Amino acid sequence: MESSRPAVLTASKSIGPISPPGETGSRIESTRGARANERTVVAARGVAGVLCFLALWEVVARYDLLPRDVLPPASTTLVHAAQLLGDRSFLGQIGSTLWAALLGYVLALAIAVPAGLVLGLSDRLHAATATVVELIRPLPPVGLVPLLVLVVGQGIEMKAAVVALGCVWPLLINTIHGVHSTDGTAKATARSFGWSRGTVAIRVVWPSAVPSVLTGVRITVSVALILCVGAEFIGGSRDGLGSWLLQQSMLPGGIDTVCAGVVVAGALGLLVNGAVTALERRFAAWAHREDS
Amino acid sequence: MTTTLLEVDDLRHTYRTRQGDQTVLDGINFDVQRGEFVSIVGPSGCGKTTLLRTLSGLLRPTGGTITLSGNVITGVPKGLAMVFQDYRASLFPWRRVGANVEFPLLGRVSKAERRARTLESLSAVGLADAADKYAWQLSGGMQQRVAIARALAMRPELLLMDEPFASVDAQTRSDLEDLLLRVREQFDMTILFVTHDVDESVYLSTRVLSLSKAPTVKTADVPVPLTFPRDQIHTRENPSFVETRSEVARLIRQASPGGLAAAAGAH
Ligand SMILES: Nc1ncnc2c1ncn2[C@@H]1O[C@H](COP(=O)(O)OP(=O)(O)OP(=O)(O)O)[C@@H](O)[C@H]1O
Ligand SMILES: [Mg+2]
Repeated sequence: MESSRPAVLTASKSIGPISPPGETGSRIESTRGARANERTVVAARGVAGVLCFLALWEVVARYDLLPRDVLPPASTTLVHAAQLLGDRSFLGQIGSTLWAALLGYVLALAIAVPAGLVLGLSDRLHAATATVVELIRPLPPVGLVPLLVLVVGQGIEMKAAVVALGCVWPLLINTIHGVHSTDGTAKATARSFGWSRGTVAIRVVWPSAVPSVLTGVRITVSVALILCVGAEFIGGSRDGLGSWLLQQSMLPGGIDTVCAGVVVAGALGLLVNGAVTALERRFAAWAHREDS
Repeated sequence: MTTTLLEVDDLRHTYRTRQGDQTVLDGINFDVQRGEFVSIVGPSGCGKTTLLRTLSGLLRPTGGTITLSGNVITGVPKGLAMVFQDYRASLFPWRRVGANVEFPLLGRVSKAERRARTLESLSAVGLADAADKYAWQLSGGMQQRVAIARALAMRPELLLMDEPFASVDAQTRSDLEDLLLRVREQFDMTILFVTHDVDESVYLSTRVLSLSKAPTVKTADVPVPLTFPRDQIHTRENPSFVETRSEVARLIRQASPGGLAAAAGAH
């Protein structure tokens, strides 16, 4: 249990949304304008990075530094990706993957957050369950696919289960961490209002834990997509991005389509990440304030 | 004329830790009358915070009884508010200043009443303009004023304060002292104030209690013969002030380890 905590902390530090690396030392005016400017600069750097990467990719492919049938040029792939976005059957596959991932993710949240609150609040329950959790946690969800296929089949239940199994532990641990990091004086203050422990949990402990829960969400959302595609790959699902990629890769010249599909999946991941960042800005900005 | 608000009778507390038991409060007795401003001074680690935590019902003492308005305290009682030394941790960073002030009133009084009390309390501490800011955007002194405003919004009969001004600079501290004396009149509260600053205790109070080092007992109960309103310059020049502060300082010295040894040697 102890060893997992620093990891959680580092994660929340290194991918904290508001203070970009290299600027934490200087005290930045926390006015809206400055924040917006800062954001534009960060976004511009991101775009520049992507352009450099695409240029490198193009050069590597055009000058045949890697064989053509392994890596098509960036320009070809991007055009292909754009075409795929107009392809109904492809969109259907993406939709199927997203739906399964969402289902599994909601399941993971529905288990991890309430359980994390309870375990975070009760040291006794925490101690009683810690060993079991540590025992189950390292099991690789994708490794469980054969077993899950036998139990629930190759459909959406299997995919959702893999996603839930992979996401539930980081979410649980981050929720517990958030509950534990609630300030003792803050809790004492709330109790001095004459509030019961339950009221303190809802009005103080939960809001204090939200930033840590969102860090867990940030860590797990993209993992959820990856797990879902992986489950489709290995579990032999009939639909979804994973099975689509598998089919395309077996067609002659299919590598172009596969690359384009991967680019679309990457863009999807980016979108989801953006949504999480927006959530963090809205609900966890106070945790990234610069007052100390 | 005066009525007793708080009665502390043979209050004892022993912390049980893995390293062994540590008796901190070893039979404390005192009463507080309505309208008094009582300061508690004592050496660091003697159990002042422990005492306030038991009085506020946050900590169940291992012995003795506390009676507030005639009722023996078993949990956090009504009519009591607490201001902590660590204002930074005591204000909730995800709520704005106004929302912090009305927080203890949630579910207890109507929305209109909450709004009225928030405005009144924030105005009383001179922060009516800061309601829409976050506490962490304010200076330390302002943050402690927010914490005081929140206590005022609860309309407490008894206000407990644990070294509330210990972490602000000297000028801010004087301002906060005078502010506290003003709101005490305005809101008609009884105040129990922990500090380790002797000057502050005499300047603010109607009575100063001094505590020994742990295991702690009350060593003195000194009335302050000064009238209100008080003034940072004139009150502190007053011979009664100087005399009282010397007496309290002497009592604290006697209660500290070096002082006790010296007293035993002189005996
Ligand atoms: N939760 C606790 N468990 C065990 N011992 C404690 C606990 N809280 C306080 N103590 C011990 O009790 C003694 C009194 O602590 P307390 O905080 O009440 O002193 P204090 O008079 O407020 O000190 P200070 O002036 O430094 O604030 C100290 O020796 C402290 O170590
Ligand atoms: Mg203390």
